[in-house]
Amino acid sequence: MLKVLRNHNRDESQRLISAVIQSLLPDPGIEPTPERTEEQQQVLQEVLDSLRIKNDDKSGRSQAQIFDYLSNELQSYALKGKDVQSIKARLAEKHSLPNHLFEVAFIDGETEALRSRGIDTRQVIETIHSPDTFEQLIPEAALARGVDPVFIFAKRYGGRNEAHAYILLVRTFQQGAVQTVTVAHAVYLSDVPIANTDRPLDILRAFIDVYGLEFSLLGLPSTNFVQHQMISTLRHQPPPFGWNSFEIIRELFAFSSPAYEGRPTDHVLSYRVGELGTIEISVAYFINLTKYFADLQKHGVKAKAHLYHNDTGISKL
Amino acid sequence: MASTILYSTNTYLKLYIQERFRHDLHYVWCSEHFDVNALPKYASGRNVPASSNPIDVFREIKRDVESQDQHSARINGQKASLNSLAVKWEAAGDITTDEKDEIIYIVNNASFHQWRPLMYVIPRAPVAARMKLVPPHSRAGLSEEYIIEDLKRPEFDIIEF
Repeated sequence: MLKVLRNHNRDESQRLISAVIQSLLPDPGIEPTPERTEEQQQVLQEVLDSLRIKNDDKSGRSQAQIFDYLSNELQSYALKGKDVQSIKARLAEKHSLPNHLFEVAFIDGETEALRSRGIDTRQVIETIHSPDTFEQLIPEAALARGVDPVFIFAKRYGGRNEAHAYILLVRTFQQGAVQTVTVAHAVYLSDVPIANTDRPLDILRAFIDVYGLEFSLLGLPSTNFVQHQMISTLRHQPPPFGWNSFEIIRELFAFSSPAYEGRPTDHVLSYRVGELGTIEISVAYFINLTKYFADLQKHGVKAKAHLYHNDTGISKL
Repeated sequence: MASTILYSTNTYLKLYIQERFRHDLHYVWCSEHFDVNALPKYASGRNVPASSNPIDVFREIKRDVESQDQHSARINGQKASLNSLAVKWEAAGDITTDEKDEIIYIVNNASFHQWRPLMYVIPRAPVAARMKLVPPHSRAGLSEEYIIEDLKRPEFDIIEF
């Protein structure tokens, strides 16, 4: 904190620093520019003295240091004693929090599941914080009803070595300033044909086309992917209220081939149980881990069998 | 003859803040020339230093972003400017205290990627009545420069390269 501002309150201090900054910036001269006041000059002088910059030094490097110092001071006065977490949560609520400022959490068991398939949690965090591309899957109307946003983040790893290059796809749900990872898959470009697209949903669909299992939902035509579908379960007993994810999958989903029953899969399901016996499915797909892990081994990834049955992607919306 | 297109170099974060917190009204300092070095040798508009030539400003910011230069005068100046403006807007009652805090938090925690340069391409005719000529003593060179204080988003296009 600047000594010359010790007798000023928070608002006065911010305004003085703001005025000093304005006085240092290029002035378009459209309106009369007030001269720097004595107090403002004292603020600037203390900054120059602290940085050991001479008054006549107008070099770019010195200017950069002065601006940086003033920005930090202004931030100190503005945010002193404020709850930064609530600022971040407000920004997240307004979709204005940049990706790199989200905290990253993992659902129970997910870090072990990631490790078992050769994915470093640091890569997952990096993919969320600085993705090549990302996409939110929940329609605006559902978000307006309070449904948590669901994201897919994508980032390419492996450099130019096409044989082992992969796109890491990370699926999260967002609550406040926290992105919680529910599942991540390494999509090897040599195994999954990806047309000219960098859209995460298209990459996910290509991955599912290779490793996804066909299933039917409540007897509807079989598919390997469901995105945002409302289904009625009125004819099912007991009512869905209180069902957990595993029960929902058992009751509502059926693999097209009985051979898949009981085999290791990633169940990726986001859902919300609504009133009147409806279930709102955000995203649902099943990954055949036997096939996926066999391909991972071609890339030198040693998947651990004991985690095969860990269902990693189940979350409520 | 006056150019039919105006150019202005801005950072992505400035665009973002004006879009989110200033009702998508954008304050820009613009020039009639994309690159004065491409003008004929004796053209009057050629007499512009790099600090006011849109393409030179663009290249300088891009270089600083790519090298993640913590001592970039352009980026640090822009950061200080947005901090300062947040306080000014709050004092004027244009934004709330919460919004001022949010801007200051974003600006001071921005990644270099968020400071990347954008080139605004502004057709002159729709904004001609709102262009304010920068007085000669405030310009870096002889070429004419303008301020538009309330540029609307449909009135300009953005290119990144």
